[in-house]
Amino acid sequence: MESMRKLRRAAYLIELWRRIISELQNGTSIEENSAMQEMQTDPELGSMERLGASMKTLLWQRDAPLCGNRLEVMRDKRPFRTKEMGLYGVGPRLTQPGDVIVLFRGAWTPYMLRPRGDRGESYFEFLREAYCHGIMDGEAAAGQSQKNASHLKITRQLITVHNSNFALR
Amino acid sequence: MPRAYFMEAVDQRSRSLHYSCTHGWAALGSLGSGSSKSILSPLKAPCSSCGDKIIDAKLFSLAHSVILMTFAGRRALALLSPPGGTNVPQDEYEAQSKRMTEQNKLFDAARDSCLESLSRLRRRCQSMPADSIKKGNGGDYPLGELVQDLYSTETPRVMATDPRDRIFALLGLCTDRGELEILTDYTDAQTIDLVYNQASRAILGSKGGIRLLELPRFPKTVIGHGGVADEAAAKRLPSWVPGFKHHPRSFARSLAEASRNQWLYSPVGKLPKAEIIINSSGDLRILSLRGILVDSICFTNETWKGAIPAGSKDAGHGFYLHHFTEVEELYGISPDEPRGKLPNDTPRDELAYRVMLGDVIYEHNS
Repeated sequence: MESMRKLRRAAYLIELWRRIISELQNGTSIEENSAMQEMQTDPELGSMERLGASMKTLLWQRDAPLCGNRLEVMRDKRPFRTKEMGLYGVGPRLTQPGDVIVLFRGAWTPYMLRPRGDRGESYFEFLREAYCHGIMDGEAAAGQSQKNASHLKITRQLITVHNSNFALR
Repeated sequence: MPRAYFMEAVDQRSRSLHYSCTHGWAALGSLGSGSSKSILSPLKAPCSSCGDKIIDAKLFSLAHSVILMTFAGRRALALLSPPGGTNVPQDEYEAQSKRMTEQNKLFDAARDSCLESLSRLRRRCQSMPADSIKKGNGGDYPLGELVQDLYSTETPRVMATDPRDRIFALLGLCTDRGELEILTDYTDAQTIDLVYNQASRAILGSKGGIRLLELPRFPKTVIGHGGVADEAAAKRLPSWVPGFKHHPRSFARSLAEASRNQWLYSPVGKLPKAEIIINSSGDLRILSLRGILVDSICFTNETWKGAIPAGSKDAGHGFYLHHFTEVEELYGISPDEPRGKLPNDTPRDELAYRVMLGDVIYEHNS
């Protein structure tokens, strides 16, 4: 029962995702747009059932290459969840629990590092860039420089490590 | 194999073209010292030379055309004006022009190949008056950018017999060589990893150089002498130093390209520019950067498989459904102590597709 619910939920998400991409590429048709609104109001029951199997296949045949292009960029990326803030994102293939997300000064993307210790001194191993939803537009950095009320939780979170030095090896 | 005669060629500019013609593979080195650099100031520093046939013919022909466009080239062209008008003997003139025709043919063949960045440099050289190449006049092409353009690519674009030339040969092409302080030293003491380390450090310390961190990949591979993989050097390379070979594009860069070449993210907002802290222990393998530790990872799931394999009977739905069930699994997990919420409280459904698209769509619409 639980797995059925999960599967339906995933089917709903993937349909939503396909439509977003399709909309971006083809422009929105009225029918699809209204179907999407239905889905948004009724996500659990979704319109997947209502859509009909043949229609669904047809739409997927049309949009699969588009969706594929988008996913190709994310090939070999590993989705993750962070410990303290529950942030969601995708990191390099090697990402594993315990790795950390850092923002270097002046950097254009967040990076994933792996803490290492060697004979009492600690350092980081550089992995690769990461996408971490919720910090991509300077939210975490804003909490650092200006005490913005809406970012207070993050600020408290980060204040102890403000401007740390990261020794990469 | 540094070639001392480049200095000679620099002093007598009209001979620079001659040398680059007879020693075609060395053109890039002579370009660096003989033409574009010597326009800036009379050349004092030792010039960088390329090793034996390190640059392929396409690269050379492009470099050759750059020379033609620059001062040394124009001087040489003047030499090659119709016979009788100059002091060039008839037979030498004919030999030169024959060579040039050959080079031009090569150049035409290379024009439509994958060397945009060199053509870009050439265009810059062409469109710029000589004295505006000086730094800060909009003609900047720093080494960091050049390295990104040449090595951030799926297919190899650069070949070198001596792998150190993957850095050294570019020094003559970039515009910030003076600030970088990279010594072109071809002695055996300068191992590949030392050269790459030194170059990476120099680039990271330059303006905008932090983007070099888009290049390092795992597992580390280094192309050694003669194009053979050098595993020992790869092992000695610190994790933050790239192997300066062709690296697949970083996904952020791919996304930026997909959305009309706009860079989508500014995660550090107004944080000051990159800062490298000099390591007190003097260990060159360690790079110290300033930054913020955001959070640590507690859960991961299967990697994304990319696009649906060609020839699959599934129309895509089933294939991608697998990804989305994994996303759902991650959502189902509660963090240990959820101390903070997402700053912008993105709805859960929206989060799912925004993350998977790298937020490209949102940027499109806003």
